[in-house]
Amino acid sequence: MTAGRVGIVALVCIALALSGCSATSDSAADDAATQFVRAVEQRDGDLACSLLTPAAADSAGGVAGTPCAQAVLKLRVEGSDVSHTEVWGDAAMIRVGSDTVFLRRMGDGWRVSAAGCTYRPDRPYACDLEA
Amino acid sequence: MSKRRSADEKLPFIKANGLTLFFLGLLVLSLVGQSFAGLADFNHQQLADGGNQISWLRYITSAAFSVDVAENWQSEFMQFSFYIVATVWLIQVGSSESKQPDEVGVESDRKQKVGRYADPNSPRPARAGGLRAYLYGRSLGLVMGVLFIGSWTAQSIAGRAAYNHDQLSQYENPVSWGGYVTSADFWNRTLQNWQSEFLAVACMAAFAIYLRYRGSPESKVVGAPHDATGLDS
Repeated sequence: MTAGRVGIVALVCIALALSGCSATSDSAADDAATQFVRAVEQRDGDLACSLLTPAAADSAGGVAGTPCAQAVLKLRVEGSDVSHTEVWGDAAMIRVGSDTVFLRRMGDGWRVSAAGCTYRPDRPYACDLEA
Repeated sequence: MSKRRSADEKLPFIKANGLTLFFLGLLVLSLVGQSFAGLADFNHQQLADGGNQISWLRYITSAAFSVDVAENWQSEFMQFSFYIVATVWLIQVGSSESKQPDEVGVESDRKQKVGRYADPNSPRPARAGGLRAYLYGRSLGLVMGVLFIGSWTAQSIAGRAAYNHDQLSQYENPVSWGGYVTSADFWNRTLQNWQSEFLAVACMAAFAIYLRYRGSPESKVVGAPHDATGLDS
């Protein structure tokens, strides 16, 4: 094998290895975020909690131990149109209505890991509900 | 010369290519080992971040695995491309890795057997002369350089994807490619690999003055004086 062919083979290997390295749009993530926000808007706490990751559902009640289905309804959400989606691997950030929500892909689909999130420069988002 | 050539052609394939095959085998074994160790580390981090455990197959096609491979590949190709070019112009007196002081530079066509000075069995581009000989005469460095730039670019693309995954996992905004290649993460990954390559090269050039390894073409012969430069001494 000539040096040129070795180079081409190596670059093809690199390109193949990078095939999963771009941001993807994932309508399933959009749907999960939209469904969650609508459930909160419609005061359906049980449905909203079923769309959270287990860790987020556990922490929703805070130290007071409020049931998740009640705690999640304290989120302030308005509108359910998706305006921006970022999906990197099994993590996503979606701007839906007035809210920014973060999601993780679990075994049974996308689940919300943080909601009611507000941007802070050079720091993580401040989220009213997070895992 | 012709006797040596015919002797080489009679060698079994594995013996004739033992050095390349040995290191390719080690490459595969190391990559497999890295993939399993990396998977365990990745899944441990996933647990801490509230993410799902992933399979081996999914891990070896992930950005996390790709960036870890690419950042090491680019530094190796960088090392060799720099070393190949630097040894044309720089010498280390007494080192088997160096040319003689009076050989600095790209040397004459006669010495390099290019164009009308080529042997009948010289590679075709060397016999052709002109641009083909010019490029062929630098092909080792060029291919290493292309592989360096290619794998460094790959590191930037895979690194951005892995970094953005971590950013989202920690409720932070993802970054653009431009933002990533000027980030601390990109340069920390890059420079921590580069510094180790430069250390290894500098040590090899200097150690070869005083130390020997009997039988290795990387070493001067055991009885060669310390101030003898190059392998022929």
